[in-house]
Amino acid sequence: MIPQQIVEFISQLGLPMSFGTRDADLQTSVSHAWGMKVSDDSEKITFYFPKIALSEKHLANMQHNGRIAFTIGHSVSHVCYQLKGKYLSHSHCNEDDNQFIKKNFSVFENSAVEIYGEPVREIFKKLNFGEYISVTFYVEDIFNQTPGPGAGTKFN
Amino acid sequence: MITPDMQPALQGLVPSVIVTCNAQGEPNTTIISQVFYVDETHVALSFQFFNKTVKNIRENPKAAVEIINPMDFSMWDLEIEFERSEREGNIFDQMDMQLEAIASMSGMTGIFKLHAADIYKVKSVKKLGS
Amino acid sequence: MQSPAEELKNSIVDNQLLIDKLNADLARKTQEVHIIQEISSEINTTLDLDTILAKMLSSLDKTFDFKHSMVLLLNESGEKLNVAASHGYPEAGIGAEVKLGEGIIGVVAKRKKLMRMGNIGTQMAYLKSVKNQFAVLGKEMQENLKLPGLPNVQSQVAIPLLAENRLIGVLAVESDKSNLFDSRDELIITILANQAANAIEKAKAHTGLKHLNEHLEDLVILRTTEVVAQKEIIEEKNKSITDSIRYAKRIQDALLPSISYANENLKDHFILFKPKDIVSGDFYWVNAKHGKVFFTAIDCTGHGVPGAFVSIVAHGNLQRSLVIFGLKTPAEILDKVNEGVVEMFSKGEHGTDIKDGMDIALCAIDRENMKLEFSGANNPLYFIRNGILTETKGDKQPIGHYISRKNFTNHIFDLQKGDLVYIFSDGFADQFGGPKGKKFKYAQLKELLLAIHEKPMKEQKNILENSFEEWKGSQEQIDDICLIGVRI
Repeated sequence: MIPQQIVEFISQLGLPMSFGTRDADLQTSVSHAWGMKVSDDSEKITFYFPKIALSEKHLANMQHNGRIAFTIGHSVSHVCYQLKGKYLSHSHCNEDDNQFIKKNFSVFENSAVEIYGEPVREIFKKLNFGEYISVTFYVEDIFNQTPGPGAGTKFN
Repeated sequence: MITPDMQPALQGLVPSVIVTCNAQGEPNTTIISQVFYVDETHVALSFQFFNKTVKNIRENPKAAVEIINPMDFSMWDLEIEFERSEREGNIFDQMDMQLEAIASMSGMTGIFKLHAADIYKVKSVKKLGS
Repeated sequence: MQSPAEELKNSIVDNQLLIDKLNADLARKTQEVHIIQEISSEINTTLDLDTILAKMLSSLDKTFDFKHSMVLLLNESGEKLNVAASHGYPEAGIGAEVKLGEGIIGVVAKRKKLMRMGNIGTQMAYLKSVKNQFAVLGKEMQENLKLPGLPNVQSQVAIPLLAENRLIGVLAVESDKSNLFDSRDELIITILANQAANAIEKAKAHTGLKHLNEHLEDLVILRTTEVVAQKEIIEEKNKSITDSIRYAKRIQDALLPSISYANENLKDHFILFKPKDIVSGDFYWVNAKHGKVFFTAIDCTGHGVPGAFVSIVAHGNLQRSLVIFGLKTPAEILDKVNEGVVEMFSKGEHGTDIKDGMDIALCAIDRENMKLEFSGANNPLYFIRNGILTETKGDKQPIGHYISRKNFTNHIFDLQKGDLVYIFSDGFADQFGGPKGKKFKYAQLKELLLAIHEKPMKEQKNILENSFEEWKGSQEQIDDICLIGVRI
């Protein structure tokens, strides 16, 4: 179960997040995700990533061995967590999912504008990753990845 | 193959994410502050602490890294493979000097030490976004 | 899908774009090299250190748009750098200190290796977060260092200034924008840094010499007193010699025909007379006799005082031949002048013969019968009619000592209104100059005369004079010049 304080942190909209999977040869793949939700029981995470982002490879990896590593952090404070676990399911996004992704994206855009300035907004207008896929996994381990002396510590 | 349009993503302005995997098949994602350009087919990562990434890479050299261009938010997902550690030479010096400079400016001289520049071969590049 | 024709069209467009880009790149590179050369030569022309540094930094801004830059020099202890010059900061901050190993500049100095960063702020923010994590654990951390430069620096190139691999300072260029400098900028700054390092060393050496000179000064003062006394004597002598020469010039000038006499007799004409020194070996002579106007351009061997002596001998003999002997043709006159000069110069004391002599072009115009006579000792006559220049060579012998001498030839021409006659000494054609420091030469003189012969005589003189000055440029005038033009 994900501790409440971490649930609160990772449930903020607009955080940068990425995930990794691996194939039978232990070759890993990485992609950016554009939104995530914690399940009501705080046991599972559902995240969304573009179909064009190596999705076939990732889905094959997940179905092959089920292992998923997921990192989410805050770009200003550098507070960061890694959640590891086992693939449960995936699906195409419905209208609710798409609305959520859109909302998350606009918060991300606002925080990027804060860091990089107003011109960034034009860039985001042009960004279009097309269709998204949602993946749900069961969280087994959580690690602190905030840079500093505590990095790498596992939460029990 | 690292193309010139990828250069802005290799300047450490946006953090990158690396995914490694240990011998037992457990993947690990970590944020790294910069992927350094070495040549058209190689990148370097800094090895400062013996963390999970460094440990995994020595068990299984295959990894993946995502880099982002801050100018237009285009992203590249790279498959890479660890080749060697360098403790001297131009790349090592560059990385070491930057670390020393930034650490000293931050009042943290001596806390950070570059152990080695880990050199990776770029095996494939997949571009996303604009 | 694109049709093959469209594809071809697109690839041509692509190629053209690539070519344009390459051309633009090339033009920019050429310009950069040019600018670097300019800056280098500017830097190398001064020995004052402050000026060198100020110039370098302002040219970095002017030509490459590098807005913020500074030069720090290593102090004598070899442990610290101090800001020696800065550009683009609200406060110059001269003297501000950086220890070796501190910040980018300090690390560059310590390692004697260039460094370029485009993400300083980002990295600093990252380490700030790390520091916060240490603080959470109750560990006390040091404050950020206060270093000279922009408070919100994001990009910086810092380059060690080395003289024979010895560190003398650091040149740093910075910006609050990220990723501002690329490898091309790095190269430009490196080249300039090398130039600056050399210039700084030179300037230091110069200052050292100045210091040494001051110690030597007392000794020099003693010597100077002696030298000044000698100098005064020499100056006194010089002055009296110069006074004599100026007097000689008055005598020589008196021998030249007056302007009004020349105007009255030569009518539409010009005389370009440019002695190399105060007195001249060249001179000209006009005399109307026997219904003709005799005129000549004479080039006596040598110039200056010796030339002037010979010219007086020549003048006397010309006058004698025409007036006393009553000779009527140029050739007869030249034969007579030669006789007189040879006679005079072979009476050298102790029997020494004088080899000096002169080249002459002598003309006589008979306006009533519209005839021109010419006789030359080595020098020719240029004659222009209807845009065609004809050269009549003089006899190949000088006036003066010459072994296989024969009588001078008397050339006679019919004249028409508008004909042009030019005679001259060799000073114009022999002048060194032009882009390659070569002689002007007769071929070019002919071309020039042909090009301007239709212009009024006064204007021709101006053009010839200007052309000569332009050709000569910064070179020295090598000989006297005398060139006479007459329009019939």
